[in-house]
Amino acid sequence: MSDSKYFTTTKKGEMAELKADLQSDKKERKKEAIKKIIANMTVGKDVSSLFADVVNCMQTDNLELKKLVYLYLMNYAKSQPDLAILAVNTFSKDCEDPNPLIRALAVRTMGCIRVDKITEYLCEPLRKCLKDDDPYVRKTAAVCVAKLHDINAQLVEDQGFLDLLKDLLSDSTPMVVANTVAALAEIGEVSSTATALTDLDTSTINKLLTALNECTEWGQVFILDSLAGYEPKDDKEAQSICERVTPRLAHANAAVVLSAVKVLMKFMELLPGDSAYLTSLVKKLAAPLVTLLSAEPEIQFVALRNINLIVQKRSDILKEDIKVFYVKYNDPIYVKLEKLDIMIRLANSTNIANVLAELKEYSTEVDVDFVRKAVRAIGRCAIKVESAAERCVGTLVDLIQTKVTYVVQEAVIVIKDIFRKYPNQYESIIATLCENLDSLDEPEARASMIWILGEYCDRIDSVDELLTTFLDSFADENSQVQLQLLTAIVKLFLKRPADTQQLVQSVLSLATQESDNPDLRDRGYIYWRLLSTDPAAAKDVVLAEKPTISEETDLLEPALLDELICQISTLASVYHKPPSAFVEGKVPTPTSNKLINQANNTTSAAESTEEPVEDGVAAPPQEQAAVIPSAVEDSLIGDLLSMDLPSTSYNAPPASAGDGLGELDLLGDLSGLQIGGGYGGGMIGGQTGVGGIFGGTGLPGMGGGMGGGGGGGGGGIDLFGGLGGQGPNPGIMFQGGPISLPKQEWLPAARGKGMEILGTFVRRGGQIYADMTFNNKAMQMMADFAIQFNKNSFGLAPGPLAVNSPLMPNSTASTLLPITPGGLVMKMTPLTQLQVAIKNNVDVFYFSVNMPTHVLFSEDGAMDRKVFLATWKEIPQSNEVQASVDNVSLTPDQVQQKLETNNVFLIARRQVDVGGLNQELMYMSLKFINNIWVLIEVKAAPGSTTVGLALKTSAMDVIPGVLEAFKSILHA
Amino acid sequence: DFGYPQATSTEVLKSYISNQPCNVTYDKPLQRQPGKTLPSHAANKPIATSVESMRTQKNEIFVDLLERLTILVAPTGNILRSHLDGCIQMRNFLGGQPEIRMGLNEDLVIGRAERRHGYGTVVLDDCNFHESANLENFEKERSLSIMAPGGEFTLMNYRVSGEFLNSIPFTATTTVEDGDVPKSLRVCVRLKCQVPSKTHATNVVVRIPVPKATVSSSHEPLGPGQTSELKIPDKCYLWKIKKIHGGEEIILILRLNLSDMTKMAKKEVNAISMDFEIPMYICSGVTIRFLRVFEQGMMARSSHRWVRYISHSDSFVFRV
Repeated sequence: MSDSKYFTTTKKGEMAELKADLQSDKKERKKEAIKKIIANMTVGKDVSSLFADVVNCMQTDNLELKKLVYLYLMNYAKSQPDLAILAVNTFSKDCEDPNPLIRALAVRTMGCIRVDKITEYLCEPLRKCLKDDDPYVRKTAAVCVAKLHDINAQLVEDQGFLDLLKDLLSDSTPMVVANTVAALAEIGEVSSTATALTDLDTSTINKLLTALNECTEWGQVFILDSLAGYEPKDDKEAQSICERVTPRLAHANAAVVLSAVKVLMKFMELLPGDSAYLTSLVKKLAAPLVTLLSAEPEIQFVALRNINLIVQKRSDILKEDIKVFYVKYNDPIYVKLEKLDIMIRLANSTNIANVLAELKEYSTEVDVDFVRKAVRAIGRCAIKVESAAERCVGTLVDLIQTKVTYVVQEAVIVIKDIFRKYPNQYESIIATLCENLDSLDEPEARASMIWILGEYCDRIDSVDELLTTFLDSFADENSQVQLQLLTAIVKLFLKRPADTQQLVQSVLSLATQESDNPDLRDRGYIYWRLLSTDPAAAKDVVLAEKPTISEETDLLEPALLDELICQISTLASVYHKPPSAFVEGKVPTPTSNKLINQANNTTSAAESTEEPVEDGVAAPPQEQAAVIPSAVEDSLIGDLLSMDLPSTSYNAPPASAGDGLGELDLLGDLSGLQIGGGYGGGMIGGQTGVGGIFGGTGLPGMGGGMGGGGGGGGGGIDLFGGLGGQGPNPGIMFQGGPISLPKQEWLPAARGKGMEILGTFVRRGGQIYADMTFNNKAMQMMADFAIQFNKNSFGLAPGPLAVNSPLMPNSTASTLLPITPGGLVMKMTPLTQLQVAIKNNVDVFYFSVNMPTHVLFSEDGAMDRKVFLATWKEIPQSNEVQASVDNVSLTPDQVQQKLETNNVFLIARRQVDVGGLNQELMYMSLKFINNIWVLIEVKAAPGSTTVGLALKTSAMDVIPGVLEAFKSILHA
Repeated sequence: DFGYPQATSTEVLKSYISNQPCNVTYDKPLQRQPGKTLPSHAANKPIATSVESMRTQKNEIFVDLLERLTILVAPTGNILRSHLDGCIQMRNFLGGQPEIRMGLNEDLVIGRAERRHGYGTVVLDDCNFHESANLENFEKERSLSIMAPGGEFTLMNYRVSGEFLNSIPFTATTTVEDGDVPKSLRVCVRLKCQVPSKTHATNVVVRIPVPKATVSSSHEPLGPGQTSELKIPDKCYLWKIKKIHGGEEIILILRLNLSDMTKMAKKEVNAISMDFEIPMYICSGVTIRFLRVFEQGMMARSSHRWVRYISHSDSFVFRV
């Protein structure tokens, strides 16, 4: 006997049994068998071998059996796509069934079978079901369209299902409307053509609002979400929508409530600020929001994160309800921390007494994280509510008396901030602080304490001894502490030079010789040199007036906040991040510039280190758009930009690779920093190092001081001073001249902290201009605009930037910025890329734009005929590029004229007869502003829409740009 | 004959009718439709409710009125914060989806702003309802009609803050002083149950935080049904009372032995918190006036209705 017997089994397995049952005539046995099969399928056994037999059972009147078979089909159709076709016939028949349940079931199941071959058979039944008499079938079919779109988007659009869906929006049954809205929303998320279709108009909005009251809770969520995407025409419409949405606030489902809140928050913007309706609406919002907090802790957390946003936008909504944000002892920690945050936001001079009493209670609790945050909160109250500062300080001193180490440390850190906000008011408590010096073991607390010691060194008697004790353990300290210690001792020396020379020398030598931390070394050197050359200047720098801080440190940017308000009740509002930041495939705000990224990295790194403890739980770094570091950076960058000492060119030294350095280094390039000699270079290196340090520690210090130093020691030309009046006259219009492209978004508002820039380049009267429009979308006015370019391929440099300053919120200013060649040259890829830095009183912003090539064509681009011929021959054949431009509906004369107005000049023109066709050959030349010549042969025939080009040049890099320019000129 | 018809036999009438008869035909769609469509709310109905299953099933409905209390009391006995979340839970085992009608207090007021100063008024800050509730008569007569789905669901949630109609169920006074033995603390907790004497609280747990340095504890004899234990890892002392009647007052006197006596130790006993459950007592004063089940025609059977009231603690804290 052969071995094949091992493969033929004599034992009839379970499968065979089931198969026999399936083929039996009795309905009961069939049903039993399929139930068994489904059970097997559920536990993961492979029963796909029975596919054909199961599909055979599909034709039955029994609803239960049919449902079971459909269930099986959904699971296995994917693995047996060919056999699944067998089922199609039955599906089509079922879609005609008199029973609406069966029709709906069939179309739903077909939608769930994700097999390409099935989809083409699905279209007809689906179309029929979308127009079915029964609402249940229609609502199922609506969702099915979304499913089909996911499998084959093109098919859905080609078959016109989207229009059918749109018709369903005006269905009489609310359930159908809700499902249609859901389907459209889902399709709209992935497809842009559908988005245009889902734009709502007044009549559909009315239908949605009618449906809203009658459909299920999840249907309501879908409808509300799509309402939020609608832009009402005027405040009356917004008000009427609000009126009809308001009853949803009393829904038991938190999702419905939040979605309703989203719609109301969005439309409230459109209502006039003083209307009585708005006031009553604000009152109505409070109660439902508070009610959300009586749900489970998880829902509470989501509600709190959303409330956090709402409070930032409109703190008046919940101003009466601060008591509900008092923490309960049995709240989970994440709820507690979030509540604390909201309490601070709601604190004002009327309720501060109660809030402080609460916070004081919290700081005696057991949970360390919570206690820390509570202590910090007391400090934030002091900074926010000026009238309560004294009471807050008193509370903090009480807490320090408890001698609980982590409480004391947190208290010291916040007292440092209070000192910065209210200088010279509370130094009486320094003695209490000094008593607790030994209990400080965390770097941040130690650094803060040392900063206080340094700042008030002239009022503390034994400060030199205290600092000496710190200095003894200098090598073991964290770098943050080392930096502070260095600065503090220098401050001490400047105030009491007589008896501290020893101390300052030892710290400087420790910092410069023993340490391998570049930041520390650089700061050490800069102090040393300052002290040795000009102690008076050192005094100006180190003891300079510091900018005061404010309590807006953790507010979100207005643009981001507005975006998040529109995302209430989604994950985005819980993360406090725009969806593009964490959802793959979402279109992020366009960024192609590594400069921006780099700058952002450094700032966010600086911000996230600023408050590490607060950051601990769930707060993303973005939450802390810190004012302190950006202010320091701002002034520092401003100074670097304005520094233009006449001497040899010098790039910022790369040795001091501090945290904030990447950005500053680039700035060095940007402004073509020119500094005389090595000493100056060292000095700047020091400064950049310091910038990094301040970003990193968040400790206030020397931004302002450096500003003074730079200004005083430079005698340099202030690039940004006195720019106001001398801009070019933007009123002159050039008609019929060179083409100009429409303005594009150069800097989106989200990137520019509310400043949006639209712009384009034009060439007028032999000069390049950047035509720019500034939109201020932030809440504050902007002023002190200035611009700088990085080194670029054509050595372009900006002229003076004339913007109407200050630029008020929600206003727009246009300007023509003259651009002149003659700057520093560096080859970019692509060639026409231009990296731009724009500064205003808020911050410095970086972005890059691609210039259209045609603005770079110079007016003296006409070449002599003989020279042209010689050059044409001289350039090797390998440097010739053939190309053509299609869809040009111009006569050869028009082509010539168009090109000439854009500085492409005709040298010679002749007619040739090619195969009976009459062709015009034009030989033309153009010259780039940096003297690169391009020779062109243009072939155009009357009646033909294609223009042939042959380009010759010695610099092949410009070819793609030139071709692009020809396309845009000829198509303009 | 005053115009009244005298003879109405068809034979006589025929002579007066002069127009041609026309046959009435039914429109086709009219015939087709009833079979193919169902009303839209059919989707929400259970597919099969057989008479048989209704026989075996008990025809019952349970309504629970639950309230969770959040109270914060200052050392002086002032109530710093009082807040309660209430809900009406339904468990519906009625056959055939009958309409249920429920009446709440007629003097119920919703919204703090509208507060009236009438005696005995129950004021809710805010409330929301399950989607099955029909609120047509709610504004006028505070009654709801409910097309209740089967099984368990929350009919209504409400929220009350500030003063309640009924007093808070417990008051506690705590004293902490140095013990008679060195390195010890004497803690005395006096707990009074304020509910009416007919009702009682069960499963009461009082949680007293103890200083970090606590090593052991001893207490004076406890009454019947009371137990207590020291949980050193959690830094707290638990006092459990099985049952406490309304109006009753009980006392715990406790001695904590410390490893190290600091002046902070006394402050570490800062707030005592409580868990409890009080059946048939509601702080807010919300009551269910009536609960009626409307059965349809032939299936009408007597249904059993059960209504319970329970108050729970959510966060019940006395500061010391």
